[in-house]
Parts: sequence; structure tokens; C-alpha cells
Amino acid sequence: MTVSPLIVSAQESIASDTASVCSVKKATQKSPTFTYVRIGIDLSKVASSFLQKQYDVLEFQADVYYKKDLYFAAEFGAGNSLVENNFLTYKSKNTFISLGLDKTFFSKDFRGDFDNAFVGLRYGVGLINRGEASYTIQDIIWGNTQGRIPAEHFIAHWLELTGGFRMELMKNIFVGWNIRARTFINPKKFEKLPPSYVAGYGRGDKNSNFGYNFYLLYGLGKRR
Amino acid sequence: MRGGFYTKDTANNNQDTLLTNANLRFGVGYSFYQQLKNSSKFSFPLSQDNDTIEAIFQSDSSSVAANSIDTMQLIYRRELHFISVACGYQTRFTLQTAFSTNHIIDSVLIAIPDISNDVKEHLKIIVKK
Repeated sequence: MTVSPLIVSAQESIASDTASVCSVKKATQKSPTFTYVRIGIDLSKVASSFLQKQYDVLEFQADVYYKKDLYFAAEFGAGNSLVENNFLTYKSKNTFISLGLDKTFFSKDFRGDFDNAFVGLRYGVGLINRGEASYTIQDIIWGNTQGRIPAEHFIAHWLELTGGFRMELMKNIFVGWNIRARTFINPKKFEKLPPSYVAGYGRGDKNSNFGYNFYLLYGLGKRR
Repeated sequence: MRGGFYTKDTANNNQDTLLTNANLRFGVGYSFYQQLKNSSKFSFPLSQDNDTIEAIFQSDSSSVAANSIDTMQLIYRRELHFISVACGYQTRFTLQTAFSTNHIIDSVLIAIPDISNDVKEHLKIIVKK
């Protein structure tokens, strides 16, 4: 039995169209996103908390690879601070979270390469509890004055510009640093008596400041 | 707080007047004093713990005669002001009322009520000629 040339031609045409559709589908198929996440701890805050008495802070960072040169990033943590001098005594504590994006500079050398330098933006929020403060105003002429400032709760908001570097030391173990420039969005809240140190931000009596972090991170997920 | 001593001239204007040998006593138990020798200017701090203070003006430091001494009272408003975490608080004052006995002092005038860390003269003490 011979097959009609028309049928053969139609079948060839269908096969070719199918191949084209398949290749077009393959070309437009999106790369998997959110496949690799890193989470780590800020070792510089662990060290500084150990070396001085003004504050105890634990800060963590997590980032997840989104696509191309973008990462979603978050920092979170908590801390206590203490002011104790001849003029002022009080404690504060807070928790915080900051969310944002990091954009890397360099293209990947190979699939699954996550070493890179980056810049990023963050929006941070801190829930702060400043305890009751006792103050002394020294006066040798009329006598010292003492008083108390009531405890207060704040919600602090700030914006951050950050930049840094991440490097993979061993498989899935990363180290990296960040430098940060931060500014409070609502500094007037602290005019009466600011918390001395805000975890995630820095000195509470500064409307803007600079900071740094040194992270040790662990990566999880599929490298694409 | 800063101030100066004045007398009234014939046109009823305030004129700077130099005190030759006077004292201004203040503080707890009047234990502090400012010696005014050939000076018309004075300064002393207000109490951060009270809304009123008294100071004693001794027109002649060598005499304790009652008719050469006046007591001056200042009433003011206090406001706590945060300096820094390291330094704590300070008090800002606003003078409200000033008066005195009248052996030597004619009147006490508040020139600038808000007392801050500047060189302005807050109080004028008019002495009798």
C-alpha cells in the first residue's frame, strides 16, 4: 500500500510545527525562582555584645535568590541596651525586621555561583520598649535634682542603603559583610528620651547613622 | 541667668550703674555669693528643683545694716530638656515674676524671660540713687 504524498507531506508539516512549538515553549520557559536561600548570623554583633556592657544584640539575615541579579533579603533580630551613668539610668529592648532587595554587580561564572558584590535597599521596623528612666541633674549651688521619666513603647521606622559582598567558603557555607547607611523616618518619637541602642539600627539618639555587619551564612536549595 | 544694675536718669531712662563694693548672695543658705566691685553685671544659676528662688543684694559688702540689704525673689517656669544619653537632662527656665524689698532696690524688671545659654541680659535691677 502506498501512502499518498499529500498525507506524508501533511504529517511532515505537523511534525515540523510541533517541533517549532516545542522549541518556542522551551525558549520562553522561565528559570526557576526562589530555589536557593541563605540564612546566617551577624558575628560582629555577637562579638560586640560580648566585649561591652551597653547592649546585647542578636541579628540574623536571610536572602533568597529571585532571578538574574536580584535577591530578596531580610534582617531580623532582637536586643537589649543599658544606660547607667551619673546622670541617667534606664534599659531598653527591641525586636526588628527589615525587608528589601539586593542587586548584584557581576554575572555568574557558573551555574549555582552565588559569590557576588551587591547594593541594596531596606525598610526597617522596630518594636521598642524603653523602660522607666531615673535622672539626676547635679547642682552644687541649689542642690541636685532627681526625677523619673515614664516607660514608653515606640514603633521605629527607618530606611537603609546597604552594600556588601558574599563569598562561598565551602559548599553552602558563605561569609560576607555589609555596610549600611540608615535614617529614621520618624525621629521625633524619641525627642523625650531615646532608647540608647536599637537592634537593627544602631544608636537610638542618632537620626541617621552608619553600621556594618559580618555574616556567616548557610545556603539551602537547588542551584540554578 | 544674667542681669545688670541700673539707675533712672532725669529722663526716666535706665542707665548702667557701677557698684563699687556690693555682694549678691544666693544658693542653699545663701552660701554662695558674687562680689560686685566696680561692676554693673551679675549672673547666677536658678534652682532646677524649685519654681522660685531668693537672692540677697548687699549694697555694701562691709555692712550688714538692714537698710543696706534687699531680698529679691524670682518666680519662673521650668522645663526638662534632654541633652544626650551621656549627659542626661538640663532645665530650661522662663522667668515669670520678679520683685524685691525696697531699701536700695527701686524695682526689678524682667528684660528677657527665656533663659538659655547665651549672653543676653535677662534681668534689670534698678537701684535708687
